Amino acid sequence: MIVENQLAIPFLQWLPDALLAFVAVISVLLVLGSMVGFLSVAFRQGPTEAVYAVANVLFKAVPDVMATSPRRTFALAKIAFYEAMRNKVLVAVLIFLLVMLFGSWFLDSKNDSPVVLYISVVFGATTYLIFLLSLFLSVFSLPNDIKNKTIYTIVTKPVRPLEIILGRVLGFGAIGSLFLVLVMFVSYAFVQRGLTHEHQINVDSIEEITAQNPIIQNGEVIAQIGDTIGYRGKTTEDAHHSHKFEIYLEEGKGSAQTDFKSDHYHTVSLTVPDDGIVTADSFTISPPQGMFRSRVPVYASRIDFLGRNGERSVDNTGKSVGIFVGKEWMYHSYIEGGSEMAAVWTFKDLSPESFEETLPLELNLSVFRLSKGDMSRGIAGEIYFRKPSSSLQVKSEESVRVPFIVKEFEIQSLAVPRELGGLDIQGNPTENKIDVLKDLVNDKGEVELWLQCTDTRQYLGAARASIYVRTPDSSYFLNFVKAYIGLWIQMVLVVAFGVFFSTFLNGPISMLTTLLSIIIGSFKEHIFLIATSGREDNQLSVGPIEAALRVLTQTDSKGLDLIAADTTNPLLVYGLSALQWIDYFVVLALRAFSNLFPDFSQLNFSNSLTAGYNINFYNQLLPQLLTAFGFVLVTSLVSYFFLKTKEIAK
Amino acid sequence: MAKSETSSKTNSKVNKSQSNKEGEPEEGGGGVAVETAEASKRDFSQNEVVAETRNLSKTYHDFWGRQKVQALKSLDIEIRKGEIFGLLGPNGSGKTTTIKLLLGLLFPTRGQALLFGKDATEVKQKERIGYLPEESYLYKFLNAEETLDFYGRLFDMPRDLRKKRVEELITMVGLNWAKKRQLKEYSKGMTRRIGLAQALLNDPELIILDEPTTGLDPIGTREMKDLILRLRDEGKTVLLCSHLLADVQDVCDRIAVLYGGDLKEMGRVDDLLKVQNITQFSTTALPEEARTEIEEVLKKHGADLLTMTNPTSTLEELFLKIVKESQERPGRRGAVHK
Repeated sequence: MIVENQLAIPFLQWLPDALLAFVAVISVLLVLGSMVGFLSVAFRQGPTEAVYAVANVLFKAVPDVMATSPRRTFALAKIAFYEAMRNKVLVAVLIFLLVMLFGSWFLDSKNDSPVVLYISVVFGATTYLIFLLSLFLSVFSLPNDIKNKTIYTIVTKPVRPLEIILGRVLGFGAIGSLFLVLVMFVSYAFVQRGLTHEHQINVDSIEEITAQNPIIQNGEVIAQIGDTIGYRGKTTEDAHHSHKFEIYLEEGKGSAQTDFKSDHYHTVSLTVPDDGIVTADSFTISPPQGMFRSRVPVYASRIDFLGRNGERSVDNTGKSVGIFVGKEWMYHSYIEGGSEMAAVWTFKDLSPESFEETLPLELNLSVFRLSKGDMSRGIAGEIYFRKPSSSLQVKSEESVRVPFIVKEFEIQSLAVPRELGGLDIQGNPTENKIDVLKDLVNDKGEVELWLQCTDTRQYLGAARASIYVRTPDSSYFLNFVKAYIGLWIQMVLVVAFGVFFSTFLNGPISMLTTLLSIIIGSFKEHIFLIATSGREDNQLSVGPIEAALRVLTQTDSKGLDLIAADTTNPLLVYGLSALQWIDYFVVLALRAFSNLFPDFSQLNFSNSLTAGYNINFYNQLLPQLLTAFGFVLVTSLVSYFFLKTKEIAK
Repeated sequence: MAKSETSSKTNSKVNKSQSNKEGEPEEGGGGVAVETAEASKRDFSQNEVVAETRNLSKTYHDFWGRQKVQALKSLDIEIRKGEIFGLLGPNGSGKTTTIKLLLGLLFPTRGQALLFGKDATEVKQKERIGYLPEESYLYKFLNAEETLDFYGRLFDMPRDLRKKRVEELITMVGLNWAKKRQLKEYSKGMTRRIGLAQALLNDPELIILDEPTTGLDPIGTREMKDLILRLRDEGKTVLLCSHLLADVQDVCDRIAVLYGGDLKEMGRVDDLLKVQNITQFSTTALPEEARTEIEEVLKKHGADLLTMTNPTSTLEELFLKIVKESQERPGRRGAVHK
């Protein structure tokens, strides 16, 4: 399973751009807000009054915001929390418990990927419940307080608008957090309980494995032809599956892993009794293993592709790409078999101390066949390591090639010895073996991993995350908690948006607009793609007029430019120029618009959980936490101005 | 309401003045006259201005900006430290609008609403005021203690002070027995009491009371009026608006009568209620023959002249007269007696 958003930008690389975007958003909102404020006052009281009013609000805002009192804010948060509790919001937890208690009845128990199924159900149910809960709590609270006039006794005390906003965000955030903590433990127990099972040995299936040839160890024959050297068999069918195993004996004992089925395997141990008669009792089977993994991958910092001519291959935006094989999903880029083409991963700072004898690689490659060939045999590829030189074309020291057969549709493990045969810069074998993590690392701490396909007429698809070095796994429970933090961030954002809209809209309309924000946020990436055509440099795409023109004229070049080039009529020239400007501003507005909403799709970490990948705190969670904080800050500040300039009474 | 010493004292004073009004001479009647005179001498005109409206106007507009209602027209009033100021007017006269403008719940269309010399919308000013709304706009799911503790936090009171004030005020409004009950279980009278307690939590300099006696039984009403007078005696300023004219007459030093957003009358209650064209004498018992020659007797027979004042009407009569005149002559601005 491929998780596309695994490759987050490193935190320190993300931070400056994010801060810049934050400052830009604040500035634009300040200017826009001042303009709207000016126009609304100027309309009724004239421009002089409007300037005074806007300046008055803006200048007083700074000390007002600075004077925010934690005691008052927490008092208001406590009231919001009590209000929600007295409204019996924890009934939602009970509903969730019911779903979890009886949910397993309705789950497809014969599913091949039960972990994916269980996690999807748990996260799906939690997401809907927490969205509804936070939505209903946040959008109706302030309008109800205004309607019931309870707000009168609040705003006639020395309470600042920001305290009212933050109090609500904190109060409802606390309720949501409590809900999520309870639900998280219930979910974890549900997943663990639902997926654990026990197998017994199917006695009828036990067969002896006999030696086909004499087995010699240290010059001594330890087994003659026909001697029993192990046992093979099956487990009983439990939880709608059974496993096969083969155990080879050594001094009357042996243990082995079963085959991998339904996202797990078991370890079967056998101790042959003194009388030599193996029964079901001679075997012990472990609980399911490998089901709940949290792999910690170290990804390459870069991927480059070498073209057929042996030169770095790039597209028109400067991004290094391989061959486009026509697949709509453009995650993978392909290299041709039996050619110079290669995919090159550059790993940085792989510490030699972290890996003893082997470098544990995991591969997640895609295959594209031009000829059917032997479908049961995978496509052959080879990897080797190279010391980075000034460019991909310049020769450098490298290791010998490690051939392997690519396994499609699964994560393939490849333990490559750190010490491999070496080739010098002329391509001659070196005398001694070379240490990949020492001898092939350049001054910058980089080492290159090259992949080539050796089957002609076949292609291998690769992306930056397709090959990584796997370090020891982290705690699965911790990863579960991190995925819930993703949900928590979503909840906080819904609350912040709900409270924000409720400062100037009534309850039902606030609910609709918040819901719309969630939907737009979920499709933010698509909106952004429309505005930028998916270009890496985020350049604006063409606008709707140009797009319509291209559809009508069936051209893929710039239609407006072409028409403009063909005409000398000044009216038409200016008209076309105006249309181009309209196009430009529409696309610009679309891109700005997409930035106004948080990207909810980035906050769903359940994919990483089901695929068994660790959620990186610094590169994945922390940026999202800070982004959410930024959104809460901006929505709260804008809400402050709405509430400050709003007449509470009617 | 639990009566403190001050309360009882104020109570007796008010009762006496009432007896006097009813014209029931009693022992030591001369003393009553002295006290009434003292009360009428109470002069706040030199005190600092606590709340003020300057040309205060409020117009409501519809969505398109068209004028819908002019709720308040150029109101100028000054409320001075230590006085009890009453706002009177029929429904829709603008008195609630005035209070909302002074509390910063509404923004003026023109003019200014000032508290302690500064704009009423400034948060800092609200540390010095207490507000009892017309109805109890409190959180029904809290009990009395939680309610006052919550409002105490809004005043940023430290925990010890908060605890002390909560205990004091619950005792003062006589709700000790029900302090753990949720407000949704309270009767209207109890809710008014807890509402009053929250208004007094910060020991405010200006207390704004909107219909303070609504929903209270006669004893509760009496106690509320006593409390208002006691607050005045403690140097607080009280602004109240009420429909219950007898209450206003009993406690207010000055009143303003609004009608249709206009100020119709403003001045001291005793001045406004004075009937100017009638002189009223009150004497001790006179000989029969002297009655026939009363005018001469007063001069020649040396009877003790106890009082010689203008009789007063009731506030209700004055109020109805203003409303009637306003209906007959719309647009007439009222007289202001400083």
